[in-house]
Amino acid sequence: MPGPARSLRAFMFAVAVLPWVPAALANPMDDGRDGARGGGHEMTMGDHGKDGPLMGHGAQQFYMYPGPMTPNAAPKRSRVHYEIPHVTLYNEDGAAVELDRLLHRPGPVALQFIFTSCATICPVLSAGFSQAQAALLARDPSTRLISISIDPEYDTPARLRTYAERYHAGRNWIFLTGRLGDIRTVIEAFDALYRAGSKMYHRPYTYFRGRPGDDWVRLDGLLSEADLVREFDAVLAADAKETHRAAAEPR
Amino acid sequence: MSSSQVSGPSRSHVRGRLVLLSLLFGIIASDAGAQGQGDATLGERLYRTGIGADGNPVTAITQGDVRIAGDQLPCVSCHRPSGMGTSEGGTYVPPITANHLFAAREANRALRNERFKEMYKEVQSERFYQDVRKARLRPAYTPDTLAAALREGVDPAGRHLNPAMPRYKLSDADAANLTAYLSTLSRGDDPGVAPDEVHFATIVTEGGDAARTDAFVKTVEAYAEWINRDIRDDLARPGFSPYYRDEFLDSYREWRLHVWRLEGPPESWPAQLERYYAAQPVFAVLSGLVEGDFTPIADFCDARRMPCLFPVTELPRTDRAAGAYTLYFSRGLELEADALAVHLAAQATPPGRVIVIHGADAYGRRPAARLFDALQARLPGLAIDSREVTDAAAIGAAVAAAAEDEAVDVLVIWPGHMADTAVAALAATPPRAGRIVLPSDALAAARSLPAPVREKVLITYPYDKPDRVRPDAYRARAWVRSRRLPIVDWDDQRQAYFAMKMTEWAMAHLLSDYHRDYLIEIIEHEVENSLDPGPQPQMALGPGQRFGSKGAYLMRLDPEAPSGLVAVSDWIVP
Repeated sequence: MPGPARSLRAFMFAVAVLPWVPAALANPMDDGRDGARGGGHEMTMGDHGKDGPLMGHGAQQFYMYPGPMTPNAAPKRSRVHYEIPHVTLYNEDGAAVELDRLLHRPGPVALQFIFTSCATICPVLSAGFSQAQAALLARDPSTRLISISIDPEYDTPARLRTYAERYHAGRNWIFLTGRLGDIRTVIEAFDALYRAGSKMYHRPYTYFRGRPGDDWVRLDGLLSEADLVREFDAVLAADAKETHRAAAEPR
Repeated sequence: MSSSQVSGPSRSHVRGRLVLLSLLFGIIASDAGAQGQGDATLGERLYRTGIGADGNPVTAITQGDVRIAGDQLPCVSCHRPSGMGTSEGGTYVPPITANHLFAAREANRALRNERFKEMYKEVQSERFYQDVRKARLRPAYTPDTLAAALREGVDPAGRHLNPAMPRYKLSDADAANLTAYLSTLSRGDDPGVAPDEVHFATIVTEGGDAARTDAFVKTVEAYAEWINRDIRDDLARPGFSPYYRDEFLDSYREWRLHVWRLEGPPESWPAQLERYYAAQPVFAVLSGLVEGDFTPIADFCDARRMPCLFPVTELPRTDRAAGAYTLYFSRGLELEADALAVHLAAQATPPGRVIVIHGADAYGRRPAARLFDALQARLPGLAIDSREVTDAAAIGAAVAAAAEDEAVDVLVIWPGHMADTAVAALAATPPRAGRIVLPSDALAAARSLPAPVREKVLITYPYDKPDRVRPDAYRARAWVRSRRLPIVDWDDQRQAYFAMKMTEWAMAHLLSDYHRDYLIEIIEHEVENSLDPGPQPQMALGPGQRFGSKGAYLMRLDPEAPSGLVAVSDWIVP
């Protein structure tokens, strides 16, 4: 690191650290380990601060934050209306499926974007569907699970069939592929565009909707079976509540 | 040294005690049944396939409660064959090679992961950046702490691993085997890497057009020289460090490019390749211009576990391709045959009888066999009449004979090197067949056909529409022109340029982790981002995928069009 940059960084660091100093000195709850650190100018960062190694030197000494003890893995939830495009996709048997017609049929839907050669997040997404499919169908036998390939030129119906077998997909779990342009239209419609146009950056989204025309609940993050079932229950419960209210309203 | 001389006697005393202690410790450890000596071969099987020591898939829990079998999500799936990890959808998978796992992770910018994030500029989600920047300091793994991480998902610092990391149910034998394998995984540099240079080869075969080969080799050499000049420039100014460049200077190595010229029939290539390799092992083979079946070269690269990156070939080895060491632009002539079958089967009135004339070499036999199978699968009632010809005289005669045949709907010719003769015969005796199909390598010859025959001709074309404007293609062209390189076959040279550019990019991302598998993994992951995919409409791979472009057009010849070609089909992905 060249000299001017280093001194600039040291200055910025000192500016950032200064407000902490009185608080650290005045804190009666400090456990006394402070004494061992010497100097008293270091940053304190909650409980983590003291676990890491001592870094820096002189007035800039600090304990390196060693990282969180548990990873932050909570999925992000959003509720959005999506216009389903009119495109023809192909299922794992090679049969044509019109996506808008498929999604306008009654019955709850759980949907994910995957590709069969995906090595990291898709196996986890699909294993979740695989394990949750029985529970989702137990709640509503008309439930459909849909996995749409975002690598359609590689994911032929035959490859989707093999993939479906690997995850023990039941009759209500549909795998779709199609022309690259059509698949991109679908990805865009579900606001699932990935960065740089590269499928390797796709997000681990799971979508639920109770009835045709409903808003979709979208979860961003890898899910447990319990997450999947709980979110699905919430979607069904919201629909049931609405049905109840509609029935109760005077005509 | 001097201190050991001074304190000789007492040191030996200590050593004796240490031996005793370690013996005791060994007994305790083996008593506890923690880890015996594992079998690295079984460990590798577990890593790659998820099959445990007892021959059955191990089981695991991911995301807290999702049960998976080892063969659904083996280690290799996320951590990849090199063990260098990957990233997908904001999930960061850390490296677990011998060097990373069995060394303490410290806050030290000399360590790879501390710098990786500065270099890794590809767009990623916020979560990814948090993960990759998060300090995860920990002591080195021991067999016991590794087993605990695999079983319970807790690292030696007591930290919980990402819930996506499966918590595997491993027997003691499984844990020991995996430990044994991981302590060898990507431990040192792969062959072809020296302290200040990396060796590469490009392969050209004799028998092709000499001017074409020469232009190709010059393009590849000029690219390597261009990289080296940049490297020398950067090394000469170590203090000038935009984008933290000076932190990566240890991974700057010049490219030594060797041209491996293969002579004689393909059967003799393996011995020639072995000789070249023995004289100077290379890290990877870059591009290449190969006349004839690529199979012997692909086999060589697999045997050496050495990447062969994007050779120019029409005859890739299409079987055993997934996960192998050669990355191709496309399936070549077999792709053309498949696309033709799809096109013919999709016609409102599909053909009833097809004549296929093909050469007796791989250029004739392989697409002909492929077309036969693909047509039979799609049009079960179709009569296919295949005629193999061994030389130019025979192909002329066969074309003339087929031309007289009235009961034929489509005449398909796979002429290989006899395209000129076949086209001359078509011009001399215009066939009665409604359609004549030629492969893309006969395009240059076919352009000379007179109008009545030309209008019946379809060309199978596994490239992008030639009239499509690609801004980045001009950059490649400008690069070639500004070096005053001859342009003989622009598609070859563009493909060579692509191969070199992709390798340059991937090499930069290796930092100083010179593992061949990792080089392939980086390309698999990132090739889809390339702004100029060469003559193909798009290049895209994924883990294990080996053919970047997967479709083809059917073109008709039209002298009025700027490129002389007009697509008559959509992009067909068979």
